[in-house]
Amino acid sequence: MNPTLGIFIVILLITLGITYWAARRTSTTADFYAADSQLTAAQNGFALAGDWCSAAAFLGFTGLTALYGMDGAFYALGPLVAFCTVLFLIAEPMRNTGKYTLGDIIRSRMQTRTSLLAAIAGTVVVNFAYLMPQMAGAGVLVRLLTGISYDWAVIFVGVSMIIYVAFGGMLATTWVQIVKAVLMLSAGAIILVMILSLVHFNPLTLFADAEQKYTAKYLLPGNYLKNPFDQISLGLGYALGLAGLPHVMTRFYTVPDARTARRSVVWVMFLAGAFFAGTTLFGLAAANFVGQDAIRAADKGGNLTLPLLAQYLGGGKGTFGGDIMLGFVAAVAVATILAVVSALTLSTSSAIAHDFYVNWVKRGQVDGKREVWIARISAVVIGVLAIALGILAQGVNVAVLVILAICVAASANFPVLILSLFWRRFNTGGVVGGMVVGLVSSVVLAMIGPAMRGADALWPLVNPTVVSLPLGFLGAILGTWMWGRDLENEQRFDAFLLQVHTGVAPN
Amino acid sequence: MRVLLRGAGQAATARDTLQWIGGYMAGNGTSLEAAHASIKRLIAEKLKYLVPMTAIFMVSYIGLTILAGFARDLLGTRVIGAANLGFVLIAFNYLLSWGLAIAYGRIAAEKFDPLAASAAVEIEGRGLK
Repeated sequence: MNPTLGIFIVILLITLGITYWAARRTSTTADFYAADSQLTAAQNGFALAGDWCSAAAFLGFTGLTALYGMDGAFYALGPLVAFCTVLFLIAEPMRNTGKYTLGDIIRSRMQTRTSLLAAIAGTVVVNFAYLMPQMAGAGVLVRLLTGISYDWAVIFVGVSMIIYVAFGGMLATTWVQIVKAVLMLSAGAIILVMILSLVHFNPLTLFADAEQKYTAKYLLPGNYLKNPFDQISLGLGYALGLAGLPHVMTRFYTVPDARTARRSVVWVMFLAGAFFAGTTLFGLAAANFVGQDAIRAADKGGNLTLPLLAQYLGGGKGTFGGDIMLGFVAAVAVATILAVVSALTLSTSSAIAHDFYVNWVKRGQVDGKREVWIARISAVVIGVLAIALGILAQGVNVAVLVILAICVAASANFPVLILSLFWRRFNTGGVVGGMVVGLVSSVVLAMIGPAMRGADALWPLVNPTVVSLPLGFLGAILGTWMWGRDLENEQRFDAFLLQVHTGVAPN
Repeated sequence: MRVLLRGAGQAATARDTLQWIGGYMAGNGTSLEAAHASIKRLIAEKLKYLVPMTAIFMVSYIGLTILAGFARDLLGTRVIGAANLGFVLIAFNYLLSWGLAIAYGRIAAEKFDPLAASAAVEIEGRGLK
């Protein structure tokens, strides 16, 4: 049997076992949405690492560095720096004020139905923009790695994630992420040690060899991101967009208090950060050992760089060691996708069940048992929708959606979230203004840019965050002004501040 | 950052305190006032550390992306062997992020947690009345 398939079946059996175990412990809404808030800092740190490192991080960063040099290293640095923003400004207030969703925070601050609806829109748009390319990527990757067809690959990934989420809720999703993070970090550590032993434990040799092989231009910035403003958009999108990604931020509800939330961020910064730093070395090593031509021959975008590097390090194509290493890395890549799509499905179904159905449609008048059922059904419906979209997306350029997800998160969700937490005058008009302007400007600018229209682009930037993020803030501030003073809301802000900083509500 | 400053700055004005006391004092006892005073101290303390720390990583990281966009040759200056200034600054940003994370964890445990804990007791003390 193909070793990838063998290793992958083992991972699948483990995750299904976890789901069976988790399903028996999941009955209340707190269990389903937040794993009863009982995780430790280390557990949530590993789960955050599993959640935040998508296949784009696991495979993409290495490939970008191998093919384009320093720009790949910029892609890898941003996701670590992003956690500084989350640590200083978001994680603890989030734990202290919300319960299960981003919508909870906006609702408890504004106490209006309109603002809740805006928060739901932000969550659903970002999650689907993120989910669809993950499904399409899963289809391509599983087909390449196991040989089954694209459609069956998407269906297989979709059905697995539906099982994890619908039966095991947050507890199963969390442990799938932890297993994936442990596998990913082990794979990274093994590859790193093998690379270092080849260069006599002097990483500078990797730079010298790459310079010699591909000239000094390879080690300069700008080989991938040609437009200088795209570099800045990338930086801003990461630094502020992570805080607006609901599927990562809801992880802070799985710990008991702000102190644990804070410590889990420090964990993920070391776990994921070390892996990101590793990808830069992996990319340089792949360019040196495997060669850019062989990497491009396997996949134009460089997404198979890491599996190819692992194969080389294991002994090369056709050897036992090479096959095992390739199989291991490929299986971890599939596990990575499963962990991320599960988190996206869970976060979307929480927004639909908890924010939309229970709090918007039914105004909170739903008992817990029924709410859990609604959430499970939402997970199935969202999963089926994701499978359908994934199949339809075959051959369509989904790269624009990846950019869009982080761009909307930074331009719409982030301004609304940060102003809700820290600005007294901010009101429902501001929530709607920030969400609408951030969302529309991101979507329009991404659609008329080169990612979608290629040479016919009406606008030069692939990633519009550098423009849409200030526009989102502007929309939020103008919306606040146009709504007029909401004195009741401003008075309530004192009580809200107590909750933001202590986690205890004064009522 | 301006927003953060503004939000907290407003919270710290005497007008707000008076408005708040006027609105709530009637049946709510005095420990909630103490809680608000504690929170004000906590916010001031947080701003003292978080404003410079946020400024440091934003300048360091966004500054690096600006250099990558507009000063490509400068980042190509060889510093250690073939590793150029760009890679050295990238490595510096990793170390800076980790350093700030550890520093924040320490500062929060030593300076913020005790203030938050006393405010929490004051809020809950009111609830028991």
